[in-house]
Amino acid sequence: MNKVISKNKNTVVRVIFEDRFKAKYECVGVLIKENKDSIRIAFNAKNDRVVDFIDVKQSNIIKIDIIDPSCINQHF
Amino acid sequence: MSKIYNIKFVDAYYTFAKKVGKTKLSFHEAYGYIKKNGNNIIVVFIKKILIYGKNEIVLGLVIPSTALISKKNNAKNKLLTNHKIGDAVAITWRDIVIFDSGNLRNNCSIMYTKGILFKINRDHIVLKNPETIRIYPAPIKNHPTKKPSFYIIPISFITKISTTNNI
Repeated sequence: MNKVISKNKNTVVRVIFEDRFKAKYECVGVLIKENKDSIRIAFNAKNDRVVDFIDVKQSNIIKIDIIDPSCINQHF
Repeated sequence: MSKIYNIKFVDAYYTFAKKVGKTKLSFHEAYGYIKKNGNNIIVVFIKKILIYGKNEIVLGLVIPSTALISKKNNAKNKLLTNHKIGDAVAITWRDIVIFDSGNLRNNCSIMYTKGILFKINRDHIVLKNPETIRIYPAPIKNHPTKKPSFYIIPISFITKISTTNNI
């Protein structure tokens, strides 16, 4: 998989992945770490420090989409 | 529940520090799918994809709609008009909660805090020597279990405040 993370701005992604029982999941968040084995998706930050995140094995990723910022609704 | 949202909100917090200087609310930012339930906003982080296009929430957050940055200053300051610094008060307020599939939630926790009114700011209050009980949902329990020195609570979270002499 090509690297999708950007050092300059938040890269918001939607990830479809599966667990070892082949159940499928979908999540959305900021891609904050990416290496050959896994990625880390952050959901929630407090005073700019990540609070909640998930690590997903690269081998469990079915699909990953970069979300265009114009498609993200602001709610604040 | 397929639109992606970026949501910015404030939260309450406590500290075990012996003194507090200048205080401000903690600022949170989250990404997720959103569902509304009355005056609760459910931010879904992970959902399990089921057959026939259905899904179930695996991890999410419930916040009071008054936690939104745009709402934090619209608080009912009238609640505080009869209270002054140094008063012993009892406060009922709605708290943010994170949940998972083992403990699904669609509304906020309700907290009851007693303490000394230490500071009143534009968007938050500071209670000294607070004792907090989560009164909803059951089971009722202390939060946190060890008493902190101060609790900083957004005024927009407060639903009721009364004077008490039982601290």
